[in-house]
Amino acid sequence: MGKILRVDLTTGILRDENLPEEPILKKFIGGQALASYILLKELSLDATPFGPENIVVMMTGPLTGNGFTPGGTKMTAVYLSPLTHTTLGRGATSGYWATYLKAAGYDGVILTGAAPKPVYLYINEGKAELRDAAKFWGLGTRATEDHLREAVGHREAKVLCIGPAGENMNRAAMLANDYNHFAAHSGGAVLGSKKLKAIVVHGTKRPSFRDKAKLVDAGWRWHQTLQQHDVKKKKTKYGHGEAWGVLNNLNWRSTELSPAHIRGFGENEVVLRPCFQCARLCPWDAKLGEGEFKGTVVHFNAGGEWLDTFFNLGIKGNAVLYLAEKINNLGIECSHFSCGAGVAFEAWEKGLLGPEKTNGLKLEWGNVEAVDKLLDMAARREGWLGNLLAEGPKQLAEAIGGDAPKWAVHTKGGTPAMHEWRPMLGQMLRELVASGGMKLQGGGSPKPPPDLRYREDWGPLAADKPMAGRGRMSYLNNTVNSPASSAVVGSPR
Amino acid sequence: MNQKPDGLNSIVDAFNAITGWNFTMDQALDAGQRSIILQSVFGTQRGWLADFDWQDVGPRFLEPIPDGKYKGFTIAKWLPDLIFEYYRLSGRHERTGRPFKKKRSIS
Repeated sequence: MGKILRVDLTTGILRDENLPEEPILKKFIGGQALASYILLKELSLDATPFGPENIVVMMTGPLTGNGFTPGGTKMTAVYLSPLTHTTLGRGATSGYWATYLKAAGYDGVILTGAAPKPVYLYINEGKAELRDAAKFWGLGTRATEDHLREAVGHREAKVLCIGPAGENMNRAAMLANDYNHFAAHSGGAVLGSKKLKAIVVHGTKRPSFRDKAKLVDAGWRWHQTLQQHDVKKKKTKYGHGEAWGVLNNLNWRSTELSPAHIRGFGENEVVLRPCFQCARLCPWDAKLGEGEFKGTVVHFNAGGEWLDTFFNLGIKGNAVLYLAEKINNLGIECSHFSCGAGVAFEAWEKGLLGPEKTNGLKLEWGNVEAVDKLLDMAARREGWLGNLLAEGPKQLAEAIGGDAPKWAVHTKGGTPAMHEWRPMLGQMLRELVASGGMKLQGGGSPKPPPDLRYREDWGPLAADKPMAGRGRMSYLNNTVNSPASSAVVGSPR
Repeated sequence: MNQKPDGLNSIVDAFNAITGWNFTMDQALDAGQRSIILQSVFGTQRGWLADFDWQDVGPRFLEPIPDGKYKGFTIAKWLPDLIFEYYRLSGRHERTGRPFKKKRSIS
């Protein structure tokens, strides 16, 4: 049976625990479900998001790291959300980290308390220790990964870490791992409040399974359902919103989609990257081949929220990819920044905000230099504006006053995945009911798998409404399909 | 190997091959449903209400689409009914989000 590592950051005491008993595992399986069960039992009712009493439970699923199926790459972290203060905060990530956590001997990690000074957790071949992180504190996520791998002396060690945004408790700070992967929705901020810079994992333990032939067969059938990503599309596509023909522009005031948005993308060198044992190839790297930031190397995952993030501030072309790499290095959830900065830019346009509150930056649409600096300010809470951007669009809009609160996009203080969802009823509903003001992951395709059996064939939408069919299908997909698959593979719902 | 490509079934089959359990699709779906219910219990205990889902929303997010082929469209005309229905049909109170005991047990 699997193990959980319990880390009390206040005292520095580490303890191994067994996974819950089988009847509990059969109810919750793994991933978000099992992590939520543990959190719900342990978290005190008077806990605050940034207090030492908040708890982070990180959990893989039974399929994570099995080596024979695609999609077995997930870790989900849950905690009290710093965005809403009342709901479950949740972030999930793919790549290799979760596989290596299991290889290091653990199915999950429970983090309690807060360290008196910056530390990182190193788990190597079943042995865990807390180490001083003073010399890594302040580094971006990229340098943190590189330096920590060097520090532990294992080139293949995997690093889950926070950047400056997490350290400064930007409310939407992310966890970053394996360069291309991020667990959004505030996990980084909670780790920052606990002064935990990173969790480095290394090990060679192999996963166990009962029936190899059946596993290989299932893995092969699963593999055949994958739609592999395509290098060409990274050079010619506008991101996810293109699927229904709209992008976010000028703080959600225009849905324009023009060739200028992807100017220069065709000249970039693009390489697709796998997650562990998965041939879908969602992650990708690029070396910019055009424009002011030519030569910059960028690391992304599929999805493209980070494209709309900067389109929304009037920026187009390869500058968008440069800024997206920067926001990943700082570790800020892109929609949180974009919806906040969007309000600030609109307030500047309408005369509600002047240079005395922007550290002298001119918040004119498309001003790449201003956004570049604003990202640093938001990550480190610099100045009036940087601090409020770190709080969120709702708080910033209220502080600006006047009509600004009407211009904010947020859900319960969090922000939706950064796409123009408004024509899509099912997706909109998904964003609105999401727990931490964040999107529900695990669905995405408007078409359910062919073997899906609906439990409740329902939906309130008329067929003649725009996108109603699609919205309804996604609605079903996200309420019925994804919960099952997510609990099994260890990803969120 | 001759079976048609499938999505969810292959995941549940892989899960059973790894754990040695014999879950049906319905049992796997139940685990997902419990996760949603836990999320509601967690929020309910800490002051969240389902009403926040439509009341605590940045107004711009509910504005009609400003231009283009979807101009004028907004989810707002179906609110809050859409959210009421979502909670009601998934076994929770439509205003509070509190799960009903009879729908499915969580422990």
